[in-house]
Amino acid sequence: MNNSFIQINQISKHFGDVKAVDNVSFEIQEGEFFSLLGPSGCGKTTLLRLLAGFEYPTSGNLLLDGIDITALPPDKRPTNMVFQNYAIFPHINVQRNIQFGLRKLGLTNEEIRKRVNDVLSLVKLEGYEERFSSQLSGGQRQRVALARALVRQPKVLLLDEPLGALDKKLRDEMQLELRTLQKNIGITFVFVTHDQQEAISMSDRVAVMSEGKIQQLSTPNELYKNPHNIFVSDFIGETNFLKAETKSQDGEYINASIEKLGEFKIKNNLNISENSSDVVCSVRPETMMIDKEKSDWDICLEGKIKQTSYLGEMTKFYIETKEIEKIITVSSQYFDNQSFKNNDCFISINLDDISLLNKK
Amino acid sequence: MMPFLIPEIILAVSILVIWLSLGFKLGLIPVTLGHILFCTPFAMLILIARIEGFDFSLEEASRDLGENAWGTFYRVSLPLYLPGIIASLLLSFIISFDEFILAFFLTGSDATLPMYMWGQMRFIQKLPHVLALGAVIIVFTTLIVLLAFWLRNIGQGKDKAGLGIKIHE
Repeated sequence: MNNSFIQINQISKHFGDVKAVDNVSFEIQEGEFFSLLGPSGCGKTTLLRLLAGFEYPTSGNLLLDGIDITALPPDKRPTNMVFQNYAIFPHINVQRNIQFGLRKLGLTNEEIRKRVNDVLSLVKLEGYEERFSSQLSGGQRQRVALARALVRQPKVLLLDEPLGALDKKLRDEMQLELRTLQKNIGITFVFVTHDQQEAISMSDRVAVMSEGKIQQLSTPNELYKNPHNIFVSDFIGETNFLKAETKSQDGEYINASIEKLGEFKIKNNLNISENSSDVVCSVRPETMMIDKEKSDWDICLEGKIKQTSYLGEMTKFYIETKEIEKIITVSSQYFDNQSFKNNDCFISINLDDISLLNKK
Repeated sequence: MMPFLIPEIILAVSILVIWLSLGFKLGLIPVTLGHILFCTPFAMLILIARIEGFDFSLEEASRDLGENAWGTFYRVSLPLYLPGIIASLLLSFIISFDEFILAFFLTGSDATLPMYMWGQMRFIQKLPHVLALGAVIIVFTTLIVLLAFWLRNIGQGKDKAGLGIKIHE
């Protein structure tokens, strides 16, 4: 047996003609913070619900810690879930909400009291025992939902967009707290989100999903630096796509012509085939340089600034060039729109920062 | 919803015809059945309003926290539906309590309260008793209807997320 904690083997879930999850296989390690990331309707929540036992797969099987849990109902699985709307029982108070799941564990009153107190201090909700859901703020409800799931000491904690309903500031705080909490208690987290920044900043590994399939499964850094296809490249961060055609392979590199810029030797990490027009180039806005003068970088283009947006820590420039059809986005920390006379500028690109991707 | 739409007298005559053609005797049993038929749509209207707003993720949360289907019903669903159930019970009781037409056709010799009052009205000297009884009934039913609506409205409107009811604003 290998050491993977959760094994998802060729899982499919169809709702009528819709393939919500389409033949997906991957593994999650013990103690990992694992994220399922994708736009709405990509199947990430369905996959989480399959893990929780609220849905049963059309085909395939699920193994948790070496045990087949495919047919187990939710109450027999060692998993617990934090719901998107928190689903706090409104007719009982915080204390009894948290105790709810302990009834069947056969604990003594003393043990129950200890567990509840421990988990209350873990999520910093001491003193709120008597409150009802309607008397709590969004952030506090989220903590109750977390406490209620953690008090059962599950093997896996499933989180369904738990930060979606919080405001930006609170969300950032909770992201850090969740991450710290997960490291401290060492429980495996499976986290569903549509927010790429959230997934990247919290996870050990991320699975990007679209149309029921995993598009790429890797570390956040790898996902950003080395996306496997156009979907991932577009979904994670921001990027410029340039038209391209591949020519002949040359060792690790492939010759490719990019728009009207000419032919370049670009690293071929994804084994893209020769003489293909089904490819695009991706260049991240922050890897390009914008300046008043020409530079000695691999590619330097003259352009005109069409629009700028000031974001505080940096400024985004939307630039038109003769060679490239689309408007190019470049971000810079050093300049703002007052730095350029007549909006004339030069943008520079290093070949190392260009990645070639298959269109399909 | 049909008993709601048909004039009550037609409902009463239909039940009478069917009941007698089946060879049964008149009495409190056909009245009870008639009242059940007549009250069901009212009870359903109240319960549907309650169930439509119910947040089903609460039931999933209960399953997730280790309760089976029965435990979930007993610990989560029932307590949340209870005000609606009681409200519909009270309303059905009131409707049945002062219902006259169905009772008039189906009682035979067993009298319901409205039938008893109907009988007493033939004697002029009993009129004050009937009027007093009527006044008591009016106060009593008003209080019960108010209680029923108060129960029905618990968790709706004022206290958001109060009883697992999603509020559409």
